[in-house]
Amino acid sequence: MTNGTFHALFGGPPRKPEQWMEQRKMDLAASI
Amino acid sequence: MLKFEGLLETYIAFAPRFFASFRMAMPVWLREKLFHKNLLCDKLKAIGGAHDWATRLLFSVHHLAHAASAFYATPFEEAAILTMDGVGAWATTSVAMGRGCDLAITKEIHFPHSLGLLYSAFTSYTGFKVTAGEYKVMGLARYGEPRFVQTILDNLIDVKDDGSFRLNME
Repeated sequence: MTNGTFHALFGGPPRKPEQWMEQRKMDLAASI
Repeated sequence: MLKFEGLLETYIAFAPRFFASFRMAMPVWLREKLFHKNLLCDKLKAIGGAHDWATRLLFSVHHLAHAASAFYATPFEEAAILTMDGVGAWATTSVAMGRGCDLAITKEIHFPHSLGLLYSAFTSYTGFKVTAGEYKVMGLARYGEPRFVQTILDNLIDVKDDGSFRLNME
């Protein structure tokens, strides 16, 4: 659903469902 | 029908990307969703009652239905109603005015400019299923710091002085 521009903006690729949750993703959740 | 039209136009605009999604979505639309009224009429006839269901069964505009469910349940005689979601037909955001029994949409923001879909983009990016995992992103927010707010405002969404907005689709 998101492209390379979006990933570059937020510092990396999307999280895969099986991956651990990073603090960066939690910060994104708090930002939107 | 409007939603189907919007869906087709979007798939065509982005073709051949999202072909897998197109291939999954079309059978459901062609088998069921386009014929909801007939399906419902058949079910209602089977339950009973000699009604002309084809005439009596009415479908509402998506955002008008949202506004009605909010306004008619309030004690207010008059109110402005703001609805925002992913997308319904073409509208993603609407302003309606309710007075007594009357309710009318006065302004709309159309697809692809959608706060709901923007939230879904973050749902997908954080590893959850779109239209299913949004509540998980809401829960996740409790554990984070809002350090990307300005990045989002600077790059993804342009909020106008009147409160309307446009998304950066790039």
